[in-house]
Amino acid sequence: MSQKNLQKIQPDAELHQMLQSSTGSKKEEFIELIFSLLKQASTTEHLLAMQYLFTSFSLKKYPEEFADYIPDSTDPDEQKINEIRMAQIEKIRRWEANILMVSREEMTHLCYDMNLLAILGKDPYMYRPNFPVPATAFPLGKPVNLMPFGPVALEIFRYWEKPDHLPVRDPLLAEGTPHGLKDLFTVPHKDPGQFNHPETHDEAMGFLKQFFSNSLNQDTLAKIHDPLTNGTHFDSIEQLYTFIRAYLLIGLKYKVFEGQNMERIVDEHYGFNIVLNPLVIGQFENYVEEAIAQIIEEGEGVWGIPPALGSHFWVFQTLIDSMNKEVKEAKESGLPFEPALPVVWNPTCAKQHDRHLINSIPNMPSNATYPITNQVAIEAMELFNEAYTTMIRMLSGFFGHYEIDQTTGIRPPQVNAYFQTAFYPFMTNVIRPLGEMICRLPADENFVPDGGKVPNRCAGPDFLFDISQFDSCGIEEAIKPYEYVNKYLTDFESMKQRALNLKTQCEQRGYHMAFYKQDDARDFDVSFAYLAENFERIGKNFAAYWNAEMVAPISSKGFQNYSNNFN
Amino acid sequence: MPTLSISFDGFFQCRLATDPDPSNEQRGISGFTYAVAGETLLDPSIWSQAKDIETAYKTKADAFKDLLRSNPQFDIKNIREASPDFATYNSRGIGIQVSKVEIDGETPPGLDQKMKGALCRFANRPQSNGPYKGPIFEGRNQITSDGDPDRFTVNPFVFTISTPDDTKLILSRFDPLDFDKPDDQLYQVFPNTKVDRRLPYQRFALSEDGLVQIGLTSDDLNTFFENRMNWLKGKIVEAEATNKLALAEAFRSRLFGVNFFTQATGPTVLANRLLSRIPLRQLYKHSIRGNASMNPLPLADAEFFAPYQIDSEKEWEILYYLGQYDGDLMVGWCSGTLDIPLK
Repeated sequence: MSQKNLQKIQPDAELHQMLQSSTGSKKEEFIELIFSLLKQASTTEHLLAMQYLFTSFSLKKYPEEFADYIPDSTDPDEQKINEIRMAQIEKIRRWEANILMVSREEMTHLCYDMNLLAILGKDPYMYRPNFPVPATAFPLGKPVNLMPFGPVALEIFRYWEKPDHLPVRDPLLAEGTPHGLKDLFTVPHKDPGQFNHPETHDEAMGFLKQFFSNSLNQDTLAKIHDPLTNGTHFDSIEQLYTFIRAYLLIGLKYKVFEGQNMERIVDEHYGFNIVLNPLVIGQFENYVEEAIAQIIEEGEGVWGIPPALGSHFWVFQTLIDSMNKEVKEAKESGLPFEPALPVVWNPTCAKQHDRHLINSIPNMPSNATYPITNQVAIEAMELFNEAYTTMIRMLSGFFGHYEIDQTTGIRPPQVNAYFQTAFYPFMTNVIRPLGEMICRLPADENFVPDGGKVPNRCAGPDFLFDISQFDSCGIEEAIKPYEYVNKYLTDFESMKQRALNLKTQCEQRGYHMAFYKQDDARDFDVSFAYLAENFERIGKNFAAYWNAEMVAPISSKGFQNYSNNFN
Repeated sequence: MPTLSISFDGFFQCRLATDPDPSNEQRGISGFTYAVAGETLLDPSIWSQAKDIETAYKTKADAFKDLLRSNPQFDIKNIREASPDFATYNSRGIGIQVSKVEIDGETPPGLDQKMKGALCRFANRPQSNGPYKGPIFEGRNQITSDGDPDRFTVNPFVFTISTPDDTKLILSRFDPLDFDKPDDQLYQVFPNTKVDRRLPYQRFALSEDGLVQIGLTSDDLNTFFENRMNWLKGKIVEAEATNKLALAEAFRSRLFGVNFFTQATGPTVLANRLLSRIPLRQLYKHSIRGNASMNPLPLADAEFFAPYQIDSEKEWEILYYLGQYDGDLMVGWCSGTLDIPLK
């Protein structure tokens, strides 16, 4: 529940009159306006979640990933270095655990946005542009890059999550932004001002008056409906969500749209923090209020409230403090400390120019993406992208057709197929391990393996939608669920074959992960084979769910389950 | 037909990755189980005896040994010590042993004496397992399990008993998941109905009996992990005082994990996942039906059991509880009874 009393929705007489007398087509336009705002919000949450994932994948996990770690050394000096590296790996693990938690919460926010779209009567929107996203297109005024862990990444993350009024420094000033990529920071850094909810709320109401009186200029509308091409209208997430809240509540109050799709409101937990009351019939206003409050408070702790312990801002500030301490100690000891693998910024396996927005914007740096040339890495990235886009289709299917029998807990077969596949195991057992493996593969084709030595430059997953960024039909098609199960099964089989192929290629080229000599280590070959096994079984399960031959992989009968407190 | 009933109990170790970590995660990041500095990588193998862990992984390096440890077992790599309040574990350590032997409810004096303390194992069968040293709990993030916490089968299933001094294997029998394809791994067994008989038969979310067996009551749950965290804080200070940097950070990671996963109102639904598993136990009950057509062959040492004659043609029945899993120590408690028909 929000700790802050937000502005009540009370349009003045003029706006009241406009809303009362608005025609059917204007109402439709208003719904489209809210739809565009929610698409921008979804895009933002989606971008942040993937950006955080990329950074967490880039972190070192094994002491062997430090070049000066010599396993089983008996030399006292080397043993001392080994101990320092093992200690650092422990710290890095805890940093990664925190970033992954934040990323999961961004996915929760994305889920809320899908629920708000359901109330509006719209389909889910699971698209986001390919990385990097220009600063002008993003409500936070900075470019969104895929970045390895480091001072820049942390300062940008802190900037994303900070309360609006807090004057943190421009993340561009942090050490480590590659040459040329600074040119992506095209929006001047703004001096912070105290976020003023009433004022922004009034701004939203004024905007709406202009909208209903048809006095908004076309440029402004273009920014609302297509921020990726025309630049965003908003300066902050808070501002965007203030508009969304006001318009959804007005739309419901004035019956511009009836709250609908109650059955599509998702509140099940699947590793995320979904806690809102699903029984929202007749309570759509409450749902809108609570969903938006939770999004904002978990993120920025804003609307004038100091950031809470555990908020994303607090998490990233703590990581910056911890990292700075470690770097300082490393300098004093003369032992360099680099917590991330040498993963390149904005890797891409795209073969066509129009896959990245920045390629179509004048004066953007030509080296903002790093084309991966290593064929194994490209194959792994393509497998990742196939898995990612299939997952997006499944999520669209899940959010678009969701329903559950609140008494029995049984979902319709196709929804169940999506539910049992898209979250666990796809996010956890496909996207993450594959992303981590790609960050350990070489970026360049001329890489010569040397045991498990970490390449000088590593690849990374590019989360690529392989479509032109300006092809609206292509975008719509790319995020749409398949109609027939066979399409999914074909994808799973294709992914299995790719994984097996990657196993063979790693064996043939002698590629190893740095820790491969440790007891029980599961190197590239074993891990790709495991992935192939998983795709095979996921396909069998998916078909059985879809065809209602299976409710869960194994039946749960007569169990004393956990009470809520213990679940 | 008389029945020989062999009861057993003890702590086992299983250092498996836990959700939402991928099932093949080897360090532990977002789940509640971690391999920390000085330990080997996570691996879902089930270890029934401390000595087997020592054989596989040796003892801890000096930088990770604790001179103040309460039990020499804690010198073995991967075996962690608990705070002193968990005295049953600290004193007993890892090891499943025979506790009682009966024939149709009566104690057979000679056999009971010979078998008390005999070593029981969930043993491996590599041809129907992945690249693991022992049998495993395998959920694969809901690919082979339905996401009910801990609702896994032990697979491959080979139950063995050795003499108390471990010099001789006296009983062993394999139970295939799929009788027609005994070498199939769990992920290959489909449809799932074939697995049902080997899944937990009942679950008890708050088992007082289970708690009593590990020396606790439900009243202890409120402070169980608080005590652990306080003890870990002390160990961090000790390690720092003796300049054991990596050991101090290893304890810090344990503390982080316990703290994160026992919060009453955590930032995610993952909160309380450690605490929920201490009182939980699940009952497994199935036959062991491997025969002479598949390896390993049923084994019963005729000399050891004389004058009683084990019937290996008939199926054996086993009932066992697994639970009381401590995610910080990565150990759980097992107790059960193996019923064997005598000729």
